[in-house]
Amino acid sequence: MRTKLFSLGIAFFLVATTGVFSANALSLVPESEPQPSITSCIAKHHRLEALMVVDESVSLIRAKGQNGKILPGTDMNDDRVTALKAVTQVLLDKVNDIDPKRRTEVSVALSGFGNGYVPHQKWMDLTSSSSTDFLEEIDKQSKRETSQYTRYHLALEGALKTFSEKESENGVTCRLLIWFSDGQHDDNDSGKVMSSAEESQVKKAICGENGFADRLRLQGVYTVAAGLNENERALGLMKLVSQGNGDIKLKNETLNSCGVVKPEGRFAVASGAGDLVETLVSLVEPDVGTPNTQPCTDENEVEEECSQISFVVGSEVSRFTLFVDRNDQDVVATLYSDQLGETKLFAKVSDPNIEQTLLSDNGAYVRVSRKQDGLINGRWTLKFRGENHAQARALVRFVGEATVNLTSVKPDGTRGTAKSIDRFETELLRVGVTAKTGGAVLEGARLEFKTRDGLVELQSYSEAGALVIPADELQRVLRNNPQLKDALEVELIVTPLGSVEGITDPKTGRNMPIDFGEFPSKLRITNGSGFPEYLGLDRSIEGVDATGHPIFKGTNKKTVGFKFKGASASDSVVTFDTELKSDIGLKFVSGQKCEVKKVVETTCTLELKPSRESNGSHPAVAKITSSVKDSSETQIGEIPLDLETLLPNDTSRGIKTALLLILAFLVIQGAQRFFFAWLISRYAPLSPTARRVRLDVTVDTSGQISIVNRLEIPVSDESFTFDNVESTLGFDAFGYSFKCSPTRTFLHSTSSPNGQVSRDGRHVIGSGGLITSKNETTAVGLVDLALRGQWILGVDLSEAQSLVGGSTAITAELIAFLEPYEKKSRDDQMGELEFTIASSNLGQYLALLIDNLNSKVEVEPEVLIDGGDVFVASNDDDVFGSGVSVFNSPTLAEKESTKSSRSRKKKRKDSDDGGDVPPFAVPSDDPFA
Amino acid sequence: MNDGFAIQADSPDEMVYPPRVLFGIAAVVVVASIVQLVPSFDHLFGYITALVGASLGGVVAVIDQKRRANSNYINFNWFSMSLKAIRYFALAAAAGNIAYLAIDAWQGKGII
Repeated sequence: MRTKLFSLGIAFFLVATTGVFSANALSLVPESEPQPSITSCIAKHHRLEALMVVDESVSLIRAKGQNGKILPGTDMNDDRVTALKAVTQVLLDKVNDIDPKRRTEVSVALSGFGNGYVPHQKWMDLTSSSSTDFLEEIDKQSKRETSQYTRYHLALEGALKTFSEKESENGVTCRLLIWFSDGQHDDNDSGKVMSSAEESQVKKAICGENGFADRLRLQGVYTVAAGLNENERALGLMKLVSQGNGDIKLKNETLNSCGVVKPEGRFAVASGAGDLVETLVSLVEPDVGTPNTQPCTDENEVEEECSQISFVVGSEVSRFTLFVDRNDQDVVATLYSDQLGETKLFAKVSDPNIEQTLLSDNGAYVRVSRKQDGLINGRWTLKFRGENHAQARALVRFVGEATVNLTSVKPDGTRGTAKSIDRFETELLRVGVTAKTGGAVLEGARLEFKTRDGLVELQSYSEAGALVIPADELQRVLRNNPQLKDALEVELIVTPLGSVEGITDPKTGRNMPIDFGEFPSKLRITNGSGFPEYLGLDRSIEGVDATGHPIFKGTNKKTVGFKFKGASASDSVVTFDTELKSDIGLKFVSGQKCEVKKVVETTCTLELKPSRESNGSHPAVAKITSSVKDSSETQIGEIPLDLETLLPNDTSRGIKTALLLILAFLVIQGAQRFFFAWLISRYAPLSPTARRVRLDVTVDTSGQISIVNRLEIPVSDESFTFDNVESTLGFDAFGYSFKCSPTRTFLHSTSSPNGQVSRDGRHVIGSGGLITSKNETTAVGLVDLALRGQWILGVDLSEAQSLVGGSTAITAELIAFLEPYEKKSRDDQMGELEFTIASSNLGQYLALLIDNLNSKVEVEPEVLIDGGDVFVASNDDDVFGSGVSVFNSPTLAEKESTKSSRSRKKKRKDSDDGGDVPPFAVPSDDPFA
Repeated sequence: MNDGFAIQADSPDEMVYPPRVLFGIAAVVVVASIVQLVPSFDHLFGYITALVGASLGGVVAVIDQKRRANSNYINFNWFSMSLKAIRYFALAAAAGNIAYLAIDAWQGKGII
């Protein structure tokens, strides 16, 4: 049956091809190279990260000639700047694509290299508005040309780092490195022959296994390298890193390969700076061309000092772009259209169909879009007028939108959706390609099967407005091509072709092509019904993308589900070979054998893991062997996989980020706190009629106070607070020194700062508490900086000792700040003062003072040489060390809190001794107040 | 006695209040930073608002401290407690957002 059908197919093909031969062979369809992987990647993922790494060596502006003569550099007119701006416009064109399906999110960054790697512009999303900033940054490159060296290894290492710094979104992003240099790798100015260090950098750091070239490739970076040098051999290393071919001469050998990972990229060299725009733009956008200019003609009359480019825009063109280089400011560039009339370039353009971006004095990017249907149709002419018109030129690119329909046709004429084809059956494929604008059937399309190693072109012929891939051709390729003869799935890539009349690409000698993009479709390949049929990947498995492909993070394993339909006659077994073809060292973890029941759909679940960390898309092939039960017959199959990988989690980066943020928080808050501390560490001003008084008092250990003679206060013991009518850092009153330390406020509290009061020969207790230390002879009192209503108690040392000795009442002096008497009488305030002090924590303050004095007595005696005993204070309480002043010591309340927590258990046991001290009402600190 | 003096530093009729408006702004900013702790929200914004909120809290505390010196200061019990709470929340929000940002960085995203 199969042989019969096969013969029928051949007969059908022969009949068909006698009348209508291969469309591609006969039509005037321009030839073009297969799309680079970056184009396919963008078409699939619509996300692009483009990093420009630009040479900043001094050779751009001057070079050393013979006998030390200074010669002009390679890029005196900064054409690289114009070229990079032109590339930015190409990228922006992808962002603003008319066809929403082709629209791409683009992030861009700019770095320079020479002596080192210098990032100039961090990653930014490219949009119409943000592009201005990026173009301004590129403009600055014209001043960046002072580096002595051209260190490629630092450039590539830096590029790798910049790509790794880009915030990775979910899913795969295409990565493009645009690398420009005018010279060869130069690390130490060793001259024409490479030094040992330079050789090591080239052989190991750049081109060694897992060198920078390999690591860039594993990160999915497509490298576009543009060299500017008359001698292409000088740029051998750039070529090796980007394209993989080329050579570089070392001392004793020639290096003609770089890295072990398959290179992804392109290289081109511009012989002069004037060619840079074309070189660089062509690398990023292969469909541009520079048509030759013609003498201007008007009704068969040749116009003098004028050249032109003329073409006819058909309905299938949705937009076209021109990179106009007039070469001289005296040359006038004018764009003429049949329908839109005349537009003078390098001037303000008002036509809504035409957008102009000036790239330099002589360079402009012009984008003509089909905004109102039909308005851009017809003849367009770009004219250059002026003495130097002959040097003017333009890069042209035409873009169209198309739709592609794929249908399979059985020998009996039945049509179906082309989801699968049989390697041995005689189905043919019909490919219908029409332009979205105008709806015209396009003149042709390139039809290719994608394999791991490249594209395989398919022959086709035109029939009734569609391209037909005959069954014979399909069988020929699917049976004989070594890449496809065992394949169970293949990707058919349809690239619609079209061209523009009247404009010829000098590279091909044909009309300029129209870029319609490419249209991929997956086709499953069956091998008859005797073996299980591969149905594709199972999309319901967790962790796979929309197509069922796993997304690997680092070298973590992932589950993949392969769906099979059982053979028609009996059960079968599918065995996955251990050998997996991939550039990321893909390995099986489990599930290599799978039983497939007859006719039933079964998902074979496998676990895979890569052995290399990478980022991007990586094609792989899984080999299977299908065997039918009770039969010795087996069949080999290959399943292509488009693996997506992401770099693994980076712990050090996480820690680094956390530390950086904590540090930033602490520094900002610390600086602010110190400023506030300095600002508020001052005693507040008081009314000049407010009073301060010194009073003799008797105090008992419970904190009760009695003013000895409140009615008759000597004049010397009462005064206005003239010292305090303005805020002040410190003052003296009645022999007591009032101070306020910003450092202490910073360390303790900016919301409740305290002032410290001290006096030689007296322990001071303040209304805010006291600070005691075993090192210090006297206690220091604490008061509120507001001063209003504040008081201090000065206790003579001998009186304090009597307290330690068991005395219950002592004499002391009380300093108090009172309200103006016109507000409240002195007597009233005296009464209130007694009450306030009695209801304060004075009793506890005194208890702690006694504790502190007792602890000094308990210190071990030190025997002096003369035989006398002295008591040496221990350092126990000086938490900041002996070098720190008492003002930085913790307050009594703070110390008590620590002490109480330490001795809580002990105190519970001894609760009947009455020595437990309740916590104080001293304000506690805010977290960073 | 110097009772005849009649100079007044404080106007007796003018009441002085804690900086309630600035406190409200600080509270709103801190709440905004807390909201950013929702996993899908912007943690960098959360961190920055926490930082701003904490700083505003500091400013409020200082202004309040200055005003307390005035004899016409009206003390609200809730104010100092709320201010302290807001500043603790700002600290917690900053810590939470830092944790999220660290996890993001660990996963390959993030600010550095």
